[in-house]
Amino acid sequence: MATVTTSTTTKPTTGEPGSPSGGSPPGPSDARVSDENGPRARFKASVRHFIRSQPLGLAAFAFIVLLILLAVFADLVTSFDPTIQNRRDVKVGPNGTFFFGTDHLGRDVFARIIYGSRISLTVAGSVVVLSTFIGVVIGGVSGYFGGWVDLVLQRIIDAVMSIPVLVLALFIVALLGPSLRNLVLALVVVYTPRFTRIARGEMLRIKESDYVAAAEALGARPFRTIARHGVPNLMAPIIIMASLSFGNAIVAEAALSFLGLGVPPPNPSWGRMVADAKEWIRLFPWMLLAPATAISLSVLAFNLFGDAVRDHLDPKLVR
Amino acid sequence: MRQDTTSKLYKLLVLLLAFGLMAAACGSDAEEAEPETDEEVETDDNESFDNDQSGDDVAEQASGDDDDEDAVDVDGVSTRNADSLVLALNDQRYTNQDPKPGGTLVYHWRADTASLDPRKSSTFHLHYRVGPVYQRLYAPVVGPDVAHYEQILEPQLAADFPEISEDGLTYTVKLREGITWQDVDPVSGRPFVADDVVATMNAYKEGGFQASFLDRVDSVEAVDDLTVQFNLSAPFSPLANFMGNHHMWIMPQEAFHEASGYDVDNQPIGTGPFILAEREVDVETVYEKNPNYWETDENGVQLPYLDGMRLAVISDQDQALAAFKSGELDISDADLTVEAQEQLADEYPEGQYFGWLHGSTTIMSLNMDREEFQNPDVRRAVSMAIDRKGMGDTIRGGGTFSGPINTNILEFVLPEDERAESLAYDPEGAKALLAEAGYPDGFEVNLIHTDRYGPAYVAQTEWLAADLEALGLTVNIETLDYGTYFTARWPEGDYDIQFGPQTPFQEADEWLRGQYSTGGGRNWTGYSDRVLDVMLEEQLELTDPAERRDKLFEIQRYILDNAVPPLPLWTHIQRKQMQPWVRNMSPAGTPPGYGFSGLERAWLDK
Repeated sequence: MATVTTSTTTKPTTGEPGSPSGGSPPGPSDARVSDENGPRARFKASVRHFIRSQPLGLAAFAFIVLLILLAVFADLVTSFDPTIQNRRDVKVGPNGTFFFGTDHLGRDVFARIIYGSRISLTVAGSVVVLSTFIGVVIGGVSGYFGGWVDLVLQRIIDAVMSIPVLVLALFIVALLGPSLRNLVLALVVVYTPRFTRIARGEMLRIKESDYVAAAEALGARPFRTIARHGVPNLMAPIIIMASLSFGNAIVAEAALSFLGLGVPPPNPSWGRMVADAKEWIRLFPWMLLAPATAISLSVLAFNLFGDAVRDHLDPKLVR
Repeated sequence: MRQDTTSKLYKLLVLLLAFGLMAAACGSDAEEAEPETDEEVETDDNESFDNDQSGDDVAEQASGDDDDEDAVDVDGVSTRNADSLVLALNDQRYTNQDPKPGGTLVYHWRADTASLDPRKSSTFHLHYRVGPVYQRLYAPVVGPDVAHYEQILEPQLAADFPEISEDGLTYTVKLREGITWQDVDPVSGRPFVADDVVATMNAYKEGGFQASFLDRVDSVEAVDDLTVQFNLSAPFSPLANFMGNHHMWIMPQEAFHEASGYDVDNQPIGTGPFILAEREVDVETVYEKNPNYWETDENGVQLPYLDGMRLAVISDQDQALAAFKSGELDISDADLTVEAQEQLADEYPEGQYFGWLHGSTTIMSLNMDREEFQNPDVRRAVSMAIDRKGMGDTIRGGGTFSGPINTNILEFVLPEDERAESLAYDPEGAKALLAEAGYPDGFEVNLIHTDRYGPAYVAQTEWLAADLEALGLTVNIETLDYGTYFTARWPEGDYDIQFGPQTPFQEADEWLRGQYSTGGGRNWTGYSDRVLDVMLEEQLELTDPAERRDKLFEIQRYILDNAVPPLPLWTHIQRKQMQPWVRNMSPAGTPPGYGFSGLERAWLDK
């Protein structure tokens, strides 16, 4: 059975199920490959290949790591509290004390950017993780069982997907009230269908595979089959989707915060900072430039990283 | 692939370089722009924005100490609205030109309301909208000779001022002859008669928030077709003013008979200069000229001058200002900060720009259901913890301390120095008082507000929250949509602390009894104090203005001493803008009040 476990990795060149070249039943040769190149070794090789072949993705990844570190260690990076109003230093331009200047209430823009990254990353991370999990479960069940289960679940997904993303998110947040929890909830509802669709499509293909038939012949229960053989083999496109969705979720959070439906004031949020600053766009542009740049660079980094992961995992692009 | 990667790398570098250049450019701009906040900024017309308008300066003007009422002289146009006017740039409201009839005035509005039944809500969105259609027994005098805060009532549907019996228990109002209702089914242009006034007053007493305006009115009767008599149970000094209140619209009898088919929510039919022609909630309200309007100007020209008016709803301030600059809007309702108006005037120097003390004030309600706020020392501590002047100067570019009666009631507002002293900022004293009251570690509160009033109000909310946090409270800000805020959460007492602007009440009694008496129409804090109630009742019987002023001063001092909620905060300078071709009209009205007073004489010079 070890060979079956091996077959769940995402490296496409080994001929395991789930890749375009896969589908053949596992055999003794696969076991030998597994012994010589265990999961850890193959992961390292994959990472080395990623570093060599995707320098832009690597730079983007470094930026993401930096962003995460800044968010985690925000209180070490800046001594300013992002909500404290320095009332004698209102709308002060960038200087040695206030690196990015202060806003209309005298709050340090740099501190608000750093602490604001916590909100952006928390929301985006939560949305992506929850959407991925729920999407894979629903998509996996829908694709594996088919029939009326598939019919009902997919019509619900169709209904949700028929409403424009931002409109639906606006509706949900307006209904529940602005808060971090409700913002995450709204975006999870919005993003889950796209994960569901991908997971279902993959599951439809996987369930026709010989190794699934073998598992079923050995008496594996449906949910075990989905969990052990289905889900691991549909994760490649899901990972790509997740990395690309991260940037979108940051933008969505910023958009909702910009419209006043994000985290309530005075908590720092990049979208809210843009909304606050737009009134002074000409006179005090640093108030707008800093959060706008933070949003742009973060989304760019996540998208470039997502592109790189896709290129890395897509067997059609393997050189 | 390598080529793709290289291309992406170049793109990234170019992008980063662009960001760097933008940052550098903005850095130099910032250094140049910064001093402007503390200096007068020259504009193309060599007029200036006073960015450092202190509350004292404004208050001095507001209290009438400035004898030179023609102090503001712009482009050769003498502006006499100087008592609370602090800015008039390109003021061309009142010129000696002959009016040009025709045209449609497009007026920007920020939000809408579902019903147009005046009894249902006091919201300004409703009462401005019915203003062109309905009229009142008495209305404020408008025009070039009226100062912004000068509220002088003149007969509108009434023929003269009320005759008041010696005992003060009977008010007799003669109605104007020859007035007809608008020719819209089911009223269909019939004559306006005393029974319409009687029906309206009875409806307000029975089912309107206006009932408090008629508190001591036992009955209203029609003596004949053009005479109405108000019978009172006790003297009621504000009654004559209430008859001209901007919530006291006279409606046709049909409005109160369901069988008539009158649609009171959607199709108001009045005696006013404009007929409501079309309405889509949250989009626009369109009015057409009433061809049978009863009023002519001094030269016998039929009013109104305009063919129509359109209230266009644009909630986003930037979108509204873009439409204003493009000439799509004649008047913008955006209430701008000093910087925003300065920026707009710089980009669009042709516009008329105004700044004057607001007709109302911002207030902070403390919900008396919270045990903590039942302790006067806690309320005092909260009041002392608020840096009102700092907030007003920083966010609004000036203004003045408000009082329980706001500055727009010149006769009865407490003197500025007394307001400033009573509402002084004392953070250390506040903390000590809170500790003495038994809350050394503070407590947690939610603070409700709405963002629909614009970004300056949101900034003030954050300012207040920071002051309360400094006092030791834990504040959770709840941002609500306007409807939820004004028709549900605030009036129903579903909050701990509320912040926002108050209605610009037009009578001292509205400011006091309405907000502070037990069960008062706008007492949304639940405050109840028998001593205060008695004082509030006593002032109603004082018909001598001097005596009444003394009593009203005494009441206000009691309110401030006990920090009775809602706490008055700050009267800011309201900054509005209008196209250069608009005449005989002030954005937001002069004097401040709902309903577009004087709209029938507005015209467009284009």
